[in-house]
Amino acid sequence: MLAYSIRRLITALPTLFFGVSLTFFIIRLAPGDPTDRFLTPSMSPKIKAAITEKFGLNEPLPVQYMTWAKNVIMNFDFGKSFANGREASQVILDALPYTLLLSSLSLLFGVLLGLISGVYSALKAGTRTDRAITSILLFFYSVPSFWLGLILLGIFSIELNWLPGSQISSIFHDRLSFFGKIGDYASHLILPVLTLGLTTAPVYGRFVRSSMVEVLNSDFIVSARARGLSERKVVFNYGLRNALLPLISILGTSFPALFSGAVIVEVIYSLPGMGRVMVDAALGRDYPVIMAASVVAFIAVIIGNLLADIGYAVADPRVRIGDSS
Amino acid sequence: MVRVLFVSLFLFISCGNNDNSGSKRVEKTYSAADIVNGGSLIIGTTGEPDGLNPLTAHSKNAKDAISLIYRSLADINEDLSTFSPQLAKSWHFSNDSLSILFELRTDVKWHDGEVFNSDDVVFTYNMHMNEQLGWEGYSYKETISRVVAQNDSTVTFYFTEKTPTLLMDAVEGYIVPEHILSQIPVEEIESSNYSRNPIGTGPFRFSEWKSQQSLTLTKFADYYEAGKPRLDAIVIQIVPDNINLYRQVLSRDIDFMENVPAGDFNKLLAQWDDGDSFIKPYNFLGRGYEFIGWNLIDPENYSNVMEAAGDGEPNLDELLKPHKLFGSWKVRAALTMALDRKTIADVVTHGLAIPMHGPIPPIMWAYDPNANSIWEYDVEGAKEFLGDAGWKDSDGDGILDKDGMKFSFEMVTNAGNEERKQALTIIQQQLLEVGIEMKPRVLEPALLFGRMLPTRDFDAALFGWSVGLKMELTPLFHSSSIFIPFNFVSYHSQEFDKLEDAAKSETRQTNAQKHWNRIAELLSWELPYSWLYYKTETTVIHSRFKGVKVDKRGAFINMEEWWIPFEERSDHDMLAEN
Repeated sequence: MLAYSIRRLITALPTLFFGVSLTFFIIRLAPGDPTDRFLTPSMSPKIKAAITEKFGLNEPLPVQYMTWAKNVIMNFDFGKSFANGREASQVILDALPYTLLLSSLSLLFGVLLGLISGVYSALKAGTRTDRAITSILLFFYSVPSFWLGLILLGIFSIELNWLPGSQISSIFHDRLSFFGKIGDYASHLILPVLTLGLTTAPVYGRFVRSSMVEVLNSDFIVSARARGLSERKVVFNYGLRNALLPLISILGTSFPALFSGAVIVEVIYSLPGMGRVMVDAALGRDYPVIMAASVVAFIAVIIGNLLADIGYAVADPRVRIGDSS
Repeated sequence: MVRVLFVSLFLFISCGNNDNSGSKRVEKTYSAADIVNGGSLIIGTTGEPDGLNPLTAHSKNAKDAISLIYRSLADINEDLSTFSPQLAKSWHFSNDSLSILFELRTDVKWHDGEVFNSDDVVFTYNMHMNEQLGWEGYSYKETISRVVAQNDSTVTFYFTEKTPTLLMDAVEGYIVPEHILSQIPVEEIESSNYSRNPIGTGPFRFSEWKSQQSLTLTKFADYYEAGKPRLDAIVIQIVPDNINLYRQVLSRDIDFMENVPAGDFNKLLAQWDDGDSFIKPYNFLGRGYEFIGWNLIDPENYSNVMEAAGDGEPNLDELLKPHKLFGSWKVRAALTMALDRKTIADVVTHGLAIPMHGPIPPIMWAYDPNANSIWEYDVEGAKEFLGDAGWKDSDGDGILDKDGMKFSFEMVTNAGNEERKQALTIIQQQLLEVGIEMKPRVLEPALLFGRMLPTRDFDAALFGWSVGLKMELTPLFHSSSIFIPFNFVSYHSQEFDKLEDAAKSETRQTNAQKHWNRIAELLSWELPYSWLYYKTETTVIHSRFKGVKVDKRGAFINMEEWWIPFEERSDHDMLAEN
């Protein structure tokens, strides 16, 4: 298993390298110049030239690329943000925890909702309840997360004023007790998690339902029932355990999607995560931060896929990876 | 009509300045004895500052915070031409007007306890001139030859030439601490920890920065003006979305907000006048105006000229070919007359703007409303001018043509500005009235500013400038700026060059005024731009703050004097008492 994981990681390196390099050149093809940010009529052209030189933008593109790649590989140095001079990696590290928190809470919520609705649908397969759940799931599957986010924000935050609509904590956060702080975070996270969870849950729900229906009709369930096991035991111990297999494999692959969804939701709810950092960097042509962020995104995709494979192997004893024989 | 607008604007300004004639609200008046210290202010802003080092920060959010943490030698007064002492107690011009001697205060401390002295002033000047740092006020200092400290409390600035802005040039920029920044290599200053942990001499000291969330500033007890600041703390809360920010003002979570959407602002004005609102609106002439820039030259010919101009002084009149449409003055005049600028301003800004006719911003000392040539809205006049220029509708399709070419062009603007998008549609309609087809095009800002304007590859651009406090038109219209992006219309006129050079060499404003008037007259007649309107600011502040001063310099000019009566304190005001 360990050997397999290492091998997978090594074979992922070319993917990472190719993707990141492509990003490097593509963002430089976009019109605009990082020094435009400093465009004010009182700025002397001399200063603009000095800034261009400071950022190394006067060098030919291949040279810029080599310098960047060398610094990243040798020193793990992503360069300094053009916007504020901070280390790009520090900018990302400040923001990443919030994105991970939002993604994992949403994943948890989405999977839970998907499981419950999927199992329930499967048990009631073919009934009106099943069709109703399916329609609701289809609705949330179809709406884009930014739309749902704006609607929830408009209703619960702007109209009803029940929940805060921006930031991760309130101004008084530091004065709250430990549980007060958790409550404060929670009230700020309810809407973002709801948005992201509701738009991802349908996928899990549909997967769980279809595999559950299949499993519940299989012979070993029939024999389990025939042996007089309680329905509860049949469904959860025998049915669900087998029906969960396909869910594990899509969990890993849905991680990157969740990450990019989080980015959008963060912008809507003004959370201090990667989304805001990436949008600001893209608009300001802050190349070092864009590059650092895309490296993180590529790594997330690779790890997500790897985890899916490993998870699958762990859950299903019939799959044995790493054995070539 | 112009007068009506001015009057209504005056009313708006008045009600922001405590003069509530006609309003139902009765405001309590306070005397100096009523003033109490304590409480805190929560400022809402849409973006995170790009650092708190005045040498390297660029964003408005950063500059606002910096203005609370740092002090400069002197502050500009409301007339935008005289100055009040700050770190400098007084100053004296030499007899030849080529140097200024500053007497510095000796009772000023940095936030870390070090004593401020003349070394800091000389060091700051050296940093300003260091191109590696790229300080954005560099052009202010170009006429200064050197800065010398006579002793701990006297500094002299020497100039290479006489200009009317010697004092402004000398005092521009906040003084930074020599004892800290001289320890850091210049190339590391921007990325150093100092940018997020600044030390100044201002009324508030930096206390905490939560990335992408908030900044906290607290009262500096050793501030040199005794008793100030009144407030214990200022929190700058970052809320990237303007609508969300506005909602937090309504829910009392935020005390201060700028750029309130015009529609909401007018509602607040009415509520304030009715006396049932705790949000006090301030409406004042701001720093921004909108205009249409007409490309005066043929874009294809421009790139060749740029190469040819590599060495020596090019003869621009000979080299640059006029634009096929807007090269003609008659056409530009007709287009200007075809625009009902009042309607555009009323629709787009909900009336929160005044008409603008010439190049000099109405907040500047050099502004004289009578100097501008005024092109009133006149559809018939516009048609006549276009006819004179040879444009006729010969095929009866409603669009003018000349020599087989239709009068059709693209007007570009940047994406992300709803007001401009809306204005484009109205302008398109108005131009169609006189038989001109205008195609609006909204472009990503980087494409517009990074590629189209610098290469002059456009017909007309709807755009806006924000105004600096120095009287300066060189970047926009001087022929020496023909190859920089600011003079993107490629205006070049020897008469203008002479007039501006003359205006800038006068040391007295009264003498310079006649040159500026001539410039206003010339440009408003020649119309490289069709100026549309000058915007007013829409700032709101919770009414519990007293002693607030807001004028064309902005709303950050006297925050050290803001105070809150005990009976009006809210939860926010207990913040610092933790």
